[in-house]
This record gives sequence, C-alpha cells and structure tokens, in this order.
Amino acid sequence: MNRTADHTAAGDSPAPVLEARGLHRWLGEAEGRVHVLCGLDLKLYPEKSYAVVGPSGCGKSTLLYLLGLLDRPDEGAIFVDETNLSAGTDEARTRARSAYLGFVFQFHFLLPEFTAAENVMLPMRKLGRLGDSEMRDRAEALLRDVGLGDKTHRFANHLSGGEQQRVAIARSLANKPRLILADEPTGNLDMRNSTLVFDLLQQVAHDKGQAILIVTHNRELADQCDEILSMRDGRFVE
Amino acid sequence: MKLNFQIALRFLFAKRRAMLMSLAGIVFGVSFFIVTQAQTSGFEDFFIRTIWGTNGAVRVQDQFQHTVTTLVAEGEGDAEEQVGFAVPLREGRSYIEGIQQPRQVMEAVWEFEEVAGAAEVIRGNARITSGFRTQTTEVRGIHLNQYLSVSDLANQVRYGELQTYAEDPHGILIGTLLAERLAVDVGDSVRLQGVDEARRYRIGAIFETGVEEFDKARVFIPLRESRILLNRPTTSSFIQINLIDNDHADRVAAHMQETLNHHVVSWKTTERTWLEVFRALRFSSGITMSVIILIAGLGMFNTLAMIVMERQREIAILRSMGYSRRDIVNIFLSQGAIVLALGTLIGWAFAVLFTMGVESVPIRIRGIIATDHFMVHWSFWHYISAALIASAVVFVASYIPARRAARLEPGDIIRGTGG
Repeated sequence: MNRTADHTAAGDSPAPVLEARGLHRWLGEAEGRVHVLCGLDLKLYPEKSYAVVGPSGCGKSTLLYLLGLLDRPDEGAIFVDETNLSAGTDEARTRARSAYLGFVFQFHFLLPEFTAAENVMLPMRKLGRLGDSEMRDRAEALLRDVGLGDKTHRFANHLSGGEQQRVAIARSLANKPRLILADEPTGNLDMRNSTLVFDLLQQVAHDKGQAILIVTHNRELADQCDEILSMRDGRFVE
Repeated sequence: MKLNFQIALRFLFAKRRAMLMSLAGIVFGVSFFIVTQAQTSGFEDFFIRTIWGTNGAVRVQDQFQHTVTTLVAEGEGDAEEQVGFAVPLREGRSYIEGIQQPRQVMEAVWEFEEVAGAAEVIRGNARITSGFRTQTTEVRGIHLNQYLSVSDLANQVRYGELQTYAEDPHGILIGTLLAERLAVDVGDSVRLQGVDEARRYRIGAIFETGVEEFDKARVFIPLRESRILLNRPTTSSFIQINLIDNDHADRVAAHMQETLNHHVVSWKTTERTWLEVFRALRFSSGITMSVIILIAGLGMFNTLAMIVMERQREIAILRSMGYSRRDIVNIFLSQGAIVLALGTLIGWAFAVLFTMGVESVPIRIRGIIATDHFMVHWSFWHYISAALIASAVVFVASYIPARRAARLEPGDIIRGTGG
C-alpha cells in the first residue's frame, strides 16, 4: 500500500516544491534484481519537514537519491514546476540540482583544502547568480546562522565533526534551494551535535520557507518533523 | 573554468610531492629533447652549410643525348619492293663527359629565376711539388668572382688574402692539410704537373673547408691557367650553382636536367647518405627524449588516478551541488594542464641554459666538418615540438582519469560510503 504525502486537499495550500509520481526502481542484475521502490507517489510542500523512516534496505536512501536527481527512476517521474526533471538530460538534471536542491549527507564531504566559507561558496560559484563579495557575505552569514561565524576562515579539516556537519548544512542552503534532502544527517554525530544539527534543519524549514526531507533511523528526531513517511519494502506504510 | 581551475589547483597542491616528480619528468624531458634536437640539428645544419659552401647546391655536369635501340625487320622480295619496319626496344642516354659549350650553358642556367650564382669549373688531377715533397692533387680551375657567388670560399681562407691570389695571374689557393703536408706557407711557390704542362704558382692564400678530403687534396687556380694545365681549351667539367633557396635544389635540378640536356645533381642527392645519418640521429634522440616525457606522463597518470580514487566522495558531492560531468573532466584536465604549463615553461628555460652550455663545450672534429666546439641550431620548432609531445602525453595521462572521475555516479558513491 502506498502512502502519499499530499496536502492539496487544503484549498489555500501552496504549490509543492517537488512531486514524485509512480516511482519504481530496481537495483541489481538478473536474478539478484530487487524491486526497491514500488510505485511511490509523493508531494513535498514548503515550510514542512518530512522524515522518512523504515528498516534498513526498505528503499529510503534510494528514494532520496531519486528525489535528489542523483539517480533515475526505472518508471515514474519527478516534477518541479510541472517539469519532468527525471526524464531530462544529465546536464538539465545537474542544473536543477544546482538551482533547486540542497544535500546533507551522513558524512560532511567537505573539500579539506578549502576553508569553511569557501566550501559554502562552492555551490554559489557554480550557480553564478551572485558576485564574489555577495557570495562571501552570504557564506559568512550562513556560517553565522549555524554558529560558526568565528570559524569562516578555518580549513574544513581543522573543524570538529559537528562543526563540519554544520558547514555542510550551511553549504546545502547556499543557493536557497526549494528542498533540502538529508540522508542520516546526524548519523555520525554525538547526541549534543545531533540535536544542534536537527534543530538547525527544522529552523531552516520554518524560517526560510524551504522543505526538508530527512532520511533517518532516529525515531526521536523523526517525531519532531512535521510529517513522518514510514517505508517498508519499497512502499509507504501507515 | 576559473572555479574548476581553483579546485584543480587545490587538489594538485594536496598531492604536491607526487606531482613534483611528474613535473620534474616533464621539465627534464622537454629540456633534453630540445637540447638533443638543437645539437643534432646543429651538426646537420653546419654540415649542410659546409656542403653548400664547398660544392654548391646544384651541379650541371656531363652532357647527354637520348638514344633509342630499335629492332629493324627487313621485308621480302626485290630490293625495290622490300617493305621493312623498325620497333623501338629501349630508350637510353649516351653521355659526353663535361660541358662542351660552357658559355651557352651558363647563359641558359641564368634563365632559371631560382639561380643566385653560377660558376664554371674545370676539374682535373695533377702532381703538386714543393721542395722534395710531391703528391697528387685535385686541381680546380675557377673564375674567382664567379666561384665566390657559389661557395663560402671567402670565409674559408685561414691564412693569406684572397685579394693577393686574385691579383696574381699565377696565384694558387691551397687546402690547409695539403699545405701542412707540403710544408708550404703563403707566398711560397709550388709546381703543378698537369697533362702535358708543368707550371709554377705562388700561394696566395690557404683555405679550410672543414671537409678533410677537400683540405688535403684540393687547390684552386685561375680558369685560364687550368685550361692550359689540364689541356681543356674550350670545355668545362661542371657548372656549380647556388640557389636563392637551396632547399629547392631537387626540383630545380630536375627541371634543369630536362631543359639543358645535361646531367644535373642537387646537393640532396650527392649527400643523401650523410643526410640520412643525421636524420636517423635526430629521430632516435627525439624518441629517446620522448620516452622520458612518456615516463613522466605515466607518473602523472598514476597520481591523477590515485586522486580520483581518493576523491570519489568529493567528486560525488561536487556533482550533487550542480557540477556537471564536464566540470569534473575540466578539473582533472586542469591539473594536467597546470603541470604541463609549468613543466614546459621551466623545461624551455632549462633548454635555453643547457643549449648555451653545450654550445660552449670544446670538441675538436675534423672529417666531414671542422669545428672546435659543439654545434647547436636554435630553432623555435624544437621548443614547439617538445611542448606538443608533452601536451599529447599529459593530455592522455590526465584525460583517462578525468573520464573515469566524470563517469562516477554520485548516488552509488554516497550510498556506498554512507553504508
């Protein structure tokens, strides 16, 4: 049974930031082929936080990569502003990632040779909407928002694990994405840093009008999200 | 590109030790390639200039006539009724030694617009005697002004003055080695025994061509003297020609031969063996030095492949942030380009220094050329060739890892790393 996170019933609801229709994904080859996602429908709205929970192997991360246009569905489509991006060229999906999406992963994946501010500027410089000084100002502002205002010029490998993950969050917000996709963002952090990072993500969703979808095993964190999407065997369940 | 270049620079700096090794390889490969090419080309160039300076670029020699061998069949019947036929079997040439009508041939030669100078020469053997020493010599009868326009004789004079020779109707120019063997000097007289005549000449100057076989046997006397000494009152041995562009000698020689009905040879034909030797030397040294660049390229390939392996997660996150596959390729090609640019520039600088150093290395060579130091040829193309070879090697060495990096699927990498 599929569950759809659909808020269109409310007449004055805003348009979804992203919509998935009938997503199917098989992984593996020949006899080992597994039907990981079995026709998922999903609409994600601004200012909402969504938690995707479920046992390992139920397809949570696969769903996140499809929504993040890092992978292509075998069937179904992903729409942003009624444009089917999952069917687009690699270039089109790359541009869409740059403009619409932000990512936070379990591991920060910062470039160690760049400072915190330079890491945050990387997506902005690629998108190219802002000038150099504007990008620098925005990077410093975002780092202040995540509590790292005094460490903007530190190299990424000179920051603690929690600080690095907060830089990764600031980086994910750099281009003001419509949707932030977070894959176990607190999975590699201690309790104190987990709470800090999660609160930051929640704050982003509510203050900056962005949607957040978090894949997590942490039921306590999931409960704090606006909506919980439970998955089992490639389907949403009650 | 600026951003990709910056990322490339940082990636590169993180692997600076390995990259320095590749850089060193490119520097030495490029510089040694240029130095060896400068050196082999230098000797080749000097050899060619020596040949032009002694034998000219083109030589018009023996006159020939076309001949046809025919098979003649006689008809049957009475002599009056006989109807025979002839079948041409083979076309050939018959040669008449030397140039029978030198003045007409000289005029015809000057009709070729590529000709810069032409000189009539009579060649023959004689016995040269000084005191008690006698030996065989190759006498060349020349008209000095003509000969100066087709040779480097003016610069080959080591002792004495050409003017002294020119003003003396019985003057003689003699090679350095021959002068040494005969123990004669400028102003001394020698006796030449020709076909029927024996005449005495005074040494006006001593020359050195650099070619041992010339310097130990050749003498020059005035053309009119050689006609008497060698008993050639009207004919000449050959006409030596200098061209506006001596590199076109083959084409001009073929054209002249067809027009003049004389056997015409170019310097490229007569010196083919030595030219092939120099070409082989240049080619083999080029290959050897290219191997050094290739090894440096392998080192770079190895380093970049390591970077791709180690940076998979960073590549994946760059892709997730909107960096295209082309951006990733550019980042890795930029790393190669940085090493290439640095390696080439430093290699060029070293090449200039090494070449200047080699040029001053003393070495005494006497044989087909005469020099007291290494010969080098400064050519822009050596620098361009080295850069092109390095570019090709570095491009391949960086493109393969770059393509591999661009093909990485970010989802697969993040999923695999994230567990």
